[in-house]
Amino acid sequence: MTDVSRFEAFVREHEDRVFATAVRLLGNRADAEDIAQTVFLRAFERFESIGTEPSAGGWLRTVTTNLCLNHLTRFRRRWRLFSEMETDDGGTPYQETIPARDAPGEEYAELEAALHGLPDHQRVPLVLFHFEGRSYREIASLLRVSLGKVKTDMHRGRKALRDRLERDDVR
Amino acid sequence: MQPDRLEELIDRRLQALPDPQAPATLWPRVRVAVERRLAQPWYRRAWRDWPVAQRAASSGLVLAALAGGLFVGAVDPGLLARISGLVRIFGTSATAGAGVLVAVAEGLRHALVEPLALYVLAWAFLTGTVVAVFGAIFRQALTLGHAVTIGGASES
Repeated sequence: MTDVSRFEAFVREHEDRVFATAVRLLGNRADAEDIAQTVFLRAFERFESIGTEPSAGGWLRTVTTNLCLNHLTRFRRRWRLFSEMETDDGGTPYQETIPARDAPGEEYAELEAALHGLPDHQRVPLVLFHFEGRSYREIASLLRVSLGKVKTDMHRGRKALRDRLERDDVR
Repeated sequence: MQPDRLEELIDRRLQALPDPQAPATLWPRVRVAVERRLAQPWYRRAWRDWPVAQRAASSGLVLAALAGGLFVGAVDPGLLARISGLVRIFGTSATAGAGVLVAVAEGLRHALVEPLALYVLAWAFLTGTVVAVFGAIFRQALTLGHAVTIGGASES
């Protein structure tokens, strides 16, 4: 059976990355912690095979992404994230200020908060694209929406982020 | 601003963000879940997590059952005849309708079961083996290949 102390070192090495992926996709720290726990429990079940593999980080990110999308599909505003219906940009975003770690300035915290303030249908594809390296087509496939909707939502999300950054620059 | 330039700008700013730190409670929660998993008796865990002895014993049992089936089919084809004899005895003491059923069953045995039994057993054994090996390789590839399949080039 897997040595727990060896597994702890594995968790310590990857926990920030897994948690970051989850919290950015879900926009909620409590849900992200639940997902991260599930991810590491699955990793424990197959630790013998992935524990020493260099691809372990990629495996963890893939599992995290899939669990987060499943979570959003099951428990949250499914109609809003996955619907082809037009939604207003303002919407009622899932707001939660996420403090950035060791931010050299306020800018990081502001940008992180702005990202988390975006509605799901804009934030999720942006996170998949900019942090997880997914292509537009992959994102459309993952979210089961059209390529056009993905591009439109992401463009609006980027504009919202840019506006937020410009407001901060003016202040 | 052009979409491409906007994408580039946002990408640069987002990439510069440090990862949010995992809460200090994460590892203790994971440890509790792991310890709870470890406390489960072996037969309630997934087969791959069984102790080696139990895994070996269960594999041996399955192989023995398959080999036994093959052995009976190959070495003692009369077993089927003996079974059908029991059926015949039952048939003679039963009603005429039952007798007809037995006759039909015997006809089927002569026509289908006896000639094909060995081949069916061999086919089942080989198919089971191939599926098990393929499944193991496929699961391994899925586990280790995930990182390779994600992260294709983005469109612009």
